Parts: sequence; C-alpha cells; structure tokens
Amino acid sequence: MKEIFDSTAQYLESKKKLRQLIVYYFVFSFVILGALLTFFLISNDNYLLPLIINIVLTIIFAWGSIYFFTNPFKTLYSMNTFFRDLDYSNFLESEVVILSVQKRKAFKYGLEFFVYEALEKSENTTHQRNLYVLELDENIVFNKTIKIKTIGNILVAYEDTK
Amino acid sequence: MKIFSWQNFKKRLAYDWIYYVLSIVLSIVLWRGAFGLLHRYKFYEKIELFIAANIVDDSFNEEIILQVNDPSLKSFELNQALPSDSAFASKLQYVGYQYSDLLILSESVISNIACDEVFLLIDQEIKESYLEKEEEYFLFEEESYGFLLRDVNKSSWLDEYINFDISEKYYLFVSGASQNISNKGNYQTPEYDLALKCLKVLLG
Repeated sequence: MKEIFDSTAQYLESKKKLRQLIVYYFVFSFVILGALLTFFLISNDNYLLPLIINIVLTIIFAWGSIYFFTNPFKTLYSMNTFFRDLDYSNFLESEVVILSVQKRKAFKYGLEFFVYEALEKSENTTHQRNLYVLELDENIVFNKTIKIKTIGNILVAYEDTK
Repeated sequence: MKIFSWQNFKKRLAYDWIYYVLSIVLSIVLWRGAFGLLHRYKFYEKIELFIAANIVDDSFNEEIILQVNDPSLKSFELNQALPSDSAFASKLQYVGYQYSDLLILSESVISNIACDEVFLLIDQEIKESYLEKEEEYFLFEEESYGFLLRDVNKSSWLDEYINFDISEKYYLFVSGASQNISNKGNYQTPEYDLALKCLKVLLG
C-alpha cells in the first residue's frame, strides 16, 4: 500500500516547526515588551510622543499575537495533534471507487482537507462515502476499485487492486 | 498545508476581527491610564482652591501659576460649589476641608464653621514671610484665620473670573489639612509651602 504521508515524520517535523515558531514569538514579545517598558520609564511630563509610540507598539504586538495564535500556531498545533493521534490509531481497510474531487473543502481536527467523493462496496450494497486528504495526490486513480486505509474517513494509504 | 496563508487569514478575520478592534481600544485606554498614573501631579506640585461661588472663567489658574513663578507649581486646580446647592455642606466637608489647600468662602458660610478646627491660624511668621502688604483678617476668638478678599468697598482682581455675591464679604482661608503649608498644619512637610506662596498672588 502506498502511504500518502508518513505520520511519524510529519509529527516530528510539525513539532520542530511548532518549537521554532514559539521561540520566534518569544523573541518578538521580549523585543516589543522591552521597547514598551523603556519608552514608559524614560518618559517625562511631556509624554505625548512616548504615549503614541507605546500605543502603536502595543497594537502591533496585540495584532501579531492574535494573528500568531489564530493562524500559524493554531494550524501547526492542529497538525501536530493530528499526526500524533494517527500514530496511535487503528486503521480501517476497505475497497472503494473514487469518483471525483469536491470543490468544497472540509475541516477536521482544525485542519483543512480536500474531499474525494467515492463509492464503497461492502457485501451486496454500495454506498457513497467522502474521503479526506490534506494534499491532493496526483497518482490516485479515479473510477477504478482501489484498496484504501483510513482513519475517521481520512485517507492514509491506498493500493491499486488491478 | 500552508502555515502562513493569506486565504486562511482572510477566513479567520471574519471570526477574529473583534479581537483586532478590541486590542486598539484596550491599548489606548491602558497606556493613557498608565502614563497618567506615572506622571500625575504629586501633592507638592499642585494647589487646589475651593471656591464657594460661581466661576465664570477658569483661566485665572494659569495666571496664578505664572505669577507665583515657582517651577514646582505645575497645576492650580479649582473646585467650585455654590452655597445655594443642597450638597454644598458635603462638598465643603469633603472637597473643601480634606482635599483643598486654599478656600474662598463667603461670610454667611463661615458663620457656621469652627475655624480653629479646620483652618490654619495666620501667625506673625506667615504675615512677615508670605505677604507683601497689610491685610484685613477674619477673626475667630480674637485670632486671625482668613484674609479679606473682597467686599462691597474692596474689589478683587478675581472679580472678572468669579461671580461673587456683591452683598457678601469673601475671605481666603488656608486649610489646616493642606500638605503645602510647611510644618504649620496637620502634616510635617517643612519643604513644601506652595499654598502660602500663592496667598499674595490671590490677594492681589
């Protein structure tokens, strides 16, 4: 079976990136907080200029923090959790025919997934099923029965059954 | 999956815009408060004047700062209360006696006050050190407690700024609770005497 991603390697990579990101954030915070404290403490009775500088710096810091925690940090943290969980999960194997890729994207585990529309055959019945992938795989075969490995409908590996 | 994505940011902005707006408001409020607190005038940098009359133009405080010409005097603040106001007694008690350094009161208001308990006794040292000319005093139990500021026969340079009742006599008192009267009042602050330095300017 062809693995779509190596969850252990991805987990380690996302963990490394997460640590790097946190270090950058702390450096950024210390620089801004140092500047804020300096301008505050050296100000005299005519404090209009340091007041304006501190307000602007605080807004930059607050916006940077909001962006950091709601975008890159959140995405990396979700990826980290997702790949870690994959390492300890039980996979489900089944046979499906992938029909198409949906235009819409779906959110699971706080991450954005592409959606494959597929048909699954089990015993005498056929039913429609959505499969989720983080990145589209160019080698995946459409309209042909393939064996897949999933966890919570997230496609982890596949194999052409010939 | 991209970690830094303009598309993701635009999507998230629909949910998070309120935090971006709130951070602007909070930054302004917090820093204004912090700077205000750090640079607020100390008790020895400001004088508070309580006036039992209507102030029509409060620009004379700048004039007083200029005339006193002491770099340590940074603010001259005015508190107004009308004797006809139902809350006047409370204002006089709380703002006048406790927080003001100097008080301008009419004769009708003073008649109910035990001057020796709240006002500074004007002794010979004050008369010699802080006044330039002979003044007429308000006497309480044969002691001087206040300076005549204006009456029917005496005008004051403050007439154009304060709407005095022309039928009343007005006196200038020094609060015994002031911390700007050297060590003459309730506090032992010998190096701070701004309230006494303002006397000759107010009396004209």
